[in-house]
Amino acid sequence: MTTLSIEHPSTLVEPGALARWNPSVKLISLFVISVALLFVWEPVRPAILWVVLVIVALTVGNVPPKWLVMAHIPFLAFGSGLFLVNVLTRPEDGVWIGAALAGRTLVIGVASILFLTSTDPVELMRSLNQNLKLPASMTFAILAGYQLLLGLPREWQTIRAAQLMRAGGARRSRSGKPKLTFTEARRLVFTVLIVTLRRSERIATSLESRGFGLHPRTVYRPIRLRPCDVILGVMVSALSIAYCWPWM
Amino acid sequence: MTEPLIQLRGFTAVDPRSGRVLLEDINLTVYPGEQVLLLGASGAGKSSLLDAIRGVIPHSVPLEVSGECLVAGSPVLATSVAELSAVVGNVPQDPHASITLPLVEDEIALTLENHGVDPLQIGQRIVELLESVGAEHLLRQRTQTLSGGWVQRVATVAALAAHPQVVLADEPTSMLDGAGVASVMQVLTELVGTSGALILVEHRLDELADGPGLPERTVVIDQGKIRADGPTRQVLVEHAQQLEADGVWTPGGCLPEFAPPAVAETEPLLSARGLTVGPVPGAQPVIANVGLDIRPGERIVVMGANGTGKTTLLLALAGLIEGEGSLVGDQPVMVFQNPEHQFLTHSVDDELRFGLLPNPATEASVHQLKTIFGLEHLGGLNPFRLSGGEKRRLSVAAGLLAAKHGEAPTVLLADEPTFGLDRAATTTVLNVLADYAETGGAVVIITHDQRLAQAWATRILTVAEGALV
Repeated sequence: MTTLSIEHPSTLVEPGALARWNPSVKLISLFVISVALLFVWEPVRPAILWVVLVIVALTVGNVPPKWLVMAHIPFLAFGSGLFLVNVLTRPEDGVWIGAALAGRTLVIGVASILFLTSTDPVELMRSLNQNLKLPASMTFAILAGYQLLLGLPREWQTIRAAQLMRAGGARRSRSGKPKLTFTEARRLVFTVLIVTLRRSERIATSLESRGFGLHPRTVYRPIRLRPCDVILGVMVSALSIAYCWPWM
Repeated sequence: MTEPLIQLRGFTAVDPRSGRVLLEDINLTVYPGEQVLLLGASGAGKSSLLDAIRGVIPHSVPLEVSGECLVAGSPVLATSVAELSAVVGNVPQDPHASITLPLVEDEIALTLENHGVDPLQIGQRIVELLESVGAEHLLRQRTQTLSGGWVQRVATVAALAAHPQVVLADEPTSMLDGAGVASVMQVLTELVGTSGALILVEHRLDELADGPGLPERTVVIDQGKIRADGPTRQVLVEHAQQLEADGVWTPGGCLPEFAPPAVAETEPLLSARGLTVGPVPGAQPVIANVGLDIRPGERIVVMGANGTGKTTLLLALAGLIEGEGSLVGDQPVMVFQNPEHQFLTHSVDDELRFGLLPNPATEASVHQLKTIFGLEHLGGLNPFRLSGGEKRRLSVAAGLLAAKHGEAPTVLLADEPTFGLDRAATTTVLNVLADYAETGGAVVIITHDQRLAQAWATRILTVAEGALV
């Protein structure tokens, strides 16, 4: 039995130095880089930045090379789409602009991969709540939903096994994976949705019964905002703005 | 005289959509230091009464309520569920449904944070709480990887972390083995002490009576009304007949005698050799090298501590998961732990008939099982709309029909087929399963109930760390 599971990228990568950076500041810095790149309309600077970020990912970020390649697939697909559209629609400067836009996509891609692999989702939500003062009702709702999501593959597998058993296809599954027909898929999705909906209702009630929503709340494991977190954030933001600024 | 902790006066709750009366003219007063056992058949209103005390009725479940419900002097109607939680702690019936966070430590901390406990004390409190249920080794574990019994312990201490005065516990030991029952009950009674109050709904009364002891006061509820209220011993004696007739679990309320084993010394129906299943190839197997012959007439009970691989064993015997080893025999039928997982159709009738040949013989046995399992008035309802007990009875009935109407008698595997059922329904399920074994089939069930196993099984298998012992 191969158990299906969803894993957050951060649980699979050995935490590197970037994992110690305050999640909220890290998120803001990622946002600043992405916005700064909007000012760049040529491919050279994004290309250099991409190389730098890939090196950071492979060294400080501890991202395994195989992973980095795999995670690039969606961004490469999107980037080449942008490139082609521009080449085809802008006869004079299509190649140049297209390459710039594709490069921008790749840079944002690597930066996001770095963020995801270095940030534990629970820490991020705690940090958004504690450092950026997002309401706890919102961050804990996201966390509870995230927990449900993690449990989904297992739920899916059990329900699939149960329905296969009812439909008399159990023995087939031992000798090889039986094909999922349309009717079966519809039933499967229906049951998964209902079971998940019930579960989320119960989680909501249970959270309330445990005093969620009372004020004041305290915080057991505070997410610290150290001066070095902020300095690093300001530096990265300033550098990326300066780097992307249209000086000429 | 001290102030009562819980006081209901003429409390009535009606479902405005169906007009069904869930609670009717409830008068109940509970003083500090009292422990109350709440008895009643399934659907009698036990859970509704607990919901009314913790404010879920009417704040989350919008019912029309009248009368008065006061908890620690303040009216539930004017207090939110979260505010009430400072006084009322609720140990959930389905512990999985209360887990919100990935780490055990954070899960317990969440309650303490909500109640504004000083962060410097939280770490120590978490360790103490886990120690009280023998779960200190789980501190840094991920909640997703825990088995049912451990989840139940973690959910229990998480629910009670803020030391509420009133503890409501709806089958707090349903997923626990013997040692777990004792430790959870001890936590509940210690927490309540002399200044708090406990209201307990529990089916495993013999284990309570033999171990930690039964609460001193018992309230019997039937069709939303309180039928009896008094010292446990007196209530159990005076209302013995009524409780027996309603099919309520009572201490010492025995299961019927089952026919002695008539195991045929013929070819086994199912024969497993070297069955090994691992979560991923190469990892530590969940069950290892299991050899088992199941012969016609056998009633096998699989027992074992939580997380030892009982469900995996059944799935492997059903051929539902890939693994190594050989499995010879006809395809068994399996009934799953969560009945909802196996529903395929939109009505109870279709669910029972699913996969069967449409002929008079089928109709006759569908009708017969519907009557036996008390489902005859539910034929047109959607299976997902049934109550917990009805869902379980339906899933067992559907499994039985599939097994009976196969080409040849086969093995029926059932994962906790009596879970959450009252005594009447449990007896019915066990009887029908025994009948099936007698007519040439064989039945394998999982249960935590020692008494049930002793009374019913022709063979008890104990699973420990993925092997049969």
